[in-house]
Amino acid sequence: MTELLIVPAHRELSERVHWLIQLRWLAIIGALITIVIANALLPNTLPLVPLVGVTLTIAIYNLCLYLYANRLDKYDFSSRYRQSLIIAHVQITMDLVALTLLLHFAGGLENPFFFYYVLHMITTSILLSRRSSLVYAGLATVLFCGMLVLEARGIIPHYNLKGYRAPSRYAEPMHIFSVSFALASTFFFTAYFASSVMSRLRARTEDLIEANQACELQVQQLAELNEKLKKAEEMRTQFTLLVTHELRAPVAAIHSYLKLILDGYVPPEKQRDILERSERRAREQLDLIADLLELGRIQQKAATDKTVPVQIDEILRGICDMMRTQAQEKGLAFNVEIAPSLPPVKATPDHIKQVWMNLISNAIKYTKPGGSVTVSVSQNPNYVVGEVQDTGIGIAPEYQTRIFDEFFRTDEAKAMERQGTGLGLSIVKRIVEVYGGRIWVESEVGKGSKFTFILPKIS
Amino acid sequence: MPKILVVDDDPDFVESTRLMLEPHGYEVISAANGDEGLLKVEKEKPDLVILDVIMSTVLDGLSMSQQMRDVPEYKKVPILMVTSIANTDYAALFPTDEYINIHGFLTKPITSEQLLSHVKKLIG
Repeated sequence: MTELLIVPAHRELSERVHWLIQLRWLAIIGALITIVIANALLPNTLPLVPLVGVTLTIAIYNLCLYLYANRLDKYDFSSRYRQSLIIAHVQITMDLVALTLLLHFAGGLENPFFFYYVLHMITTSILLSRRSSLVYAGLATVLFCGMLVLEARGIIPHYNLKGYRAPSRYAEPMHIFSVSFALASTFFFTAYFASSVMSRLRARTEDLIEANQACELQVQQLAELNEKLKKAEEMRTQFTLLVTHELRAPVAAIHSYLKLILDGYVPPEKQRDILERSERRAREQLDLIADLLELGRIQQKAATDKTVPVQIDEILRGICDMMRTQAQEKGLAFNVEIAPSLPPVKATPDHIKQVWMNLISNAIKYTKPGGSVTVSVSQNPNYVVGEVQDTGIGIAPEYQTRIFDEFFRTDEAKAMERQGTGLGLSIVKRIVEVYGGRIWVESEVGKGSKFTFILPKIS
Repeated sequence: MPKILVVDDDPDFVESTRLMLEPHGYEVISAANGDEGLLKVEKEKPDLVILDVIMSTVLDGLSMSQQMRDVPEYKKVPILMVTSIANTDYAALFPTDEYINIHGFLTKPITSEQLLSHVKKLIG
């Protein structure tokens, strides 16, 4: 049984234990009424004291069981299940013994109520497994036959139901044998059939519960999936909105400037400045379109271009001189640290070059003259690690994840460098992730930033 | 001289707006983001605010207009909303005038005629 199915099974057993205790109260009342009626029909025949005594004993142990079973409800499931099982065994044994005693005092073989054993076989099958039911069928047989034999042998007294049965019948071996055999076989068949029906019922209940749980699980998964789709759709809408905004802004600015010149709003001495501004915006638009195309192509390129073993360090060496020149022109120190014998990663060389170029030119762009940019490549057990560290303006903690979002630029970055599409880091992130890597930034405002990316080694 | 605050992170938009308005006797001041914009509203007490819907950082145009609405003193300052998003496709994404304190809506690029007629309507 799986973990999930235990709970219903536990609950079923403890519910049935309660139910049996309730039934027993009715049985006690029934037994007392039967004793009274039998006593009226056969006056001065029945030994009333032992009969009522046994009935009271049943009442007492039923009370004990009742109190105990109620206390069990406070326990946790698994210990409650164990205790319920014990109670079930105890009450079935007690009931069989009590029935045998009642039969013994009320005529033994002469009493037709021995069929009540069959009821006990049925309740046992409902409560317990087939094996236990068969064991209790055996116990009932032993108790009943034992009583008959002991009475026939005169080891225990026999109470004859005077006026109902012939007084000698209880000692006839053939009669004892035939009744015992018929009854014992009835016990076993009853136990077998009842427990078969029960086990099939239990199996079906378990199937149902399992099917139910599978459904619930699926519903949950579907809901989650739906949520994800909704989110993706929202993000797509948001992205389209941003792209529209970003694409329109430069054209709108250029258009406004040109219109102002045409309409004579711009004094001649200012016209060159306005034209220069327009030209800058046009260039910006071209850069933006190029970056947008690039961003859209990364996945496709990674899928269609041949991914080859790429030496990240080699590609860094290839662009080092160009980057150093840029850094030195701005008055920055430029350091490169490359660990020896690095393994390759699976990527396309163009993409890796783009990652380095973007990160290093950002570092140069956002570091004031006199600062430094340090680039390093190393490895850890699973990844090749690239780092670009600067002593630049830094990024406030709340923007450290947002800077990878499309078009996002901090106000500080804009203030320092007007030009910028806000797509560079998005492109870098997408490239790194498409090859199974990760990128993150550690930064402190005013002190500098360190971008780290890792790409899985080819083993 | 009526004072107009232009809040936009695009300096070229600020510049062209200035070129359009100054010859017609308006004083133009500017702010690059919503936070700065709110400070200027408080300090300079402009007669009109021209606000870009999307400013990528700090406080965007929508939140700035909402914050202005929450202060009784600024509530009376009319706001002219400007966006570079085509209003036909995306207008539904924006809350309507019931929720935000907007007195006019323009789409970039803006012509000087459009801008002046809106400004005149709002502050004379």
